[in-house]
Amino acid sequence: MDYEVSRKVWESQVPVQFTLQAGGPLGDPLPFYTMLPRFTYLALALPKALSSFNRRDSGDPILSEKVWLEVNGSPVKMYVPIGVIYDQANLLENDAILEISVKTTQPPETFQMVDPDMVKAMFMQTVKEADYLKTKSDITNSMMVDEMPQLWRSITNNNFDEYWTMVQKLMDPKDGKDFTHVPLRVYVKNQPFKQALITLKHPNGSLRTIGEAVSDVLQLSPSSEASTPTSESSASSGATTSSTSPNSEERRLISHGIDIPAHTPLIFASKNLSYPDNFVHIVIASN
Amino acid sequence: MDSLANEAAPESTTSPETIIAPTAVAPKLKKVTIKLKNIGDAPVLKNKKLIVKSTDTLASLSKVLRKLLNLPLNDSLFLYIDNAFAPSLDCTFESLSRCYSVRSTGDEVLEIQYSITPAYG
Repeated sequence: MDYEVSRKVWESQVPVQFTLQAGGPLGDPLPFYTMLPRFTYLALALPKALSSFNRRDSGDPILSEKVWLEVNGSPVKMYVPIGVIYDQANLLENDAILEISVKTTQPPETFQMVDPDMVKAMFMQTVKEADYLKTKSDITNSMMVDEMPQLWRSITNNNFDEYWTMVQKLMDPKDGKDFTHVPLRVYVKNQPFKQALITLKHPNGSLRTIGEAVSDVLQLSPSSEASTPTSESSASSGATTSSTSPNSEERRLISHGIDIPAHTPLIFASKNLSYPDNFVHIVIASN
Repeated sequence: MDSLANEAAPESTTSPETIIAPTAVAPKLKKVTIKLKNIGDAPVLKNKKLIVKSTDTLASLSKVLRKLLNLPLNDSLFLYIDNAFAPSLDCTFESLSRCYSVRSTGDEVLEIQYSITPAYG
């Protein structure tokens, strides 16, 4: 792992605006503005926004279990890292503010209220899933009981030093073995995220790039075996052809608000550009 | 119970597949076979095999499973893969199947364990 890169990724933040649309005789309270680390979750940020709204003298306090959140007119997932939500909202070009509407109406069925305890549980399961892909759960099975909660604490306390200690255990296995598969989620606009079994290297031993990996997940490579989607992507021997397909040239791979060069080795992305949940989250944008 | 798909509530998070590229796989509706196994005190299902749409999410399975097991909404239900981890509920069966399907007696099957108490941390 690269300390400097990891630290920069950890320190990146996005501007967020919470607005409450409650109506009522007092009108709506002033919006709440904040800078949030990309690695954190709306489930953790919401209480602060609500306490700002509730600072008004009168009126019933707004309780977190009574609200739901919307971004760009759609219910938002409170358990997805805020950086991923920001990148999906397509705000990058002008450093725009991520606008979150806090609503007190009946939540739509697709919205799931997630409290801090739930997001902690979901986070830990995602780290476990990532480790299942990387090492067949070797690392998480050998971790001490308090180590996963410590990783979570580093997020809630915004403590990079604690995070760095824990994440090295997950990313740099002591036995020096390569990851079996790379935890990678790809987000295409208006679609659920996609995930597949992606190996670090091509069958000939050369390193797979992030661009090739994304093409494999999206099954864009003509050589990928579309008829047997569960077969490992390494099976496609001509995987290098994917980088020459016309589509991948206009395609932008966004993570942490930056354009990830398509030729970045997948192993570098996994070790240094993963979110704390140990997944690389790539949002696809087009020019 | 040969087709669970008809019964599962449509998930609005899964929009119809848009064509990303001419080379993209034709949006033919694929099905995923699931084999369910109970853990601990969770009741055993009569029919352990279900067929679901690949565009459905784990959340829709959770809903259907609650119905089959007569579980009230506020009772918890945990779903696991390979007795190791609980996948995200908004993961589609397409992604789950591509990552975690196993081949048993020739067919690809996604094995999911369910529990009414947290089983694996």
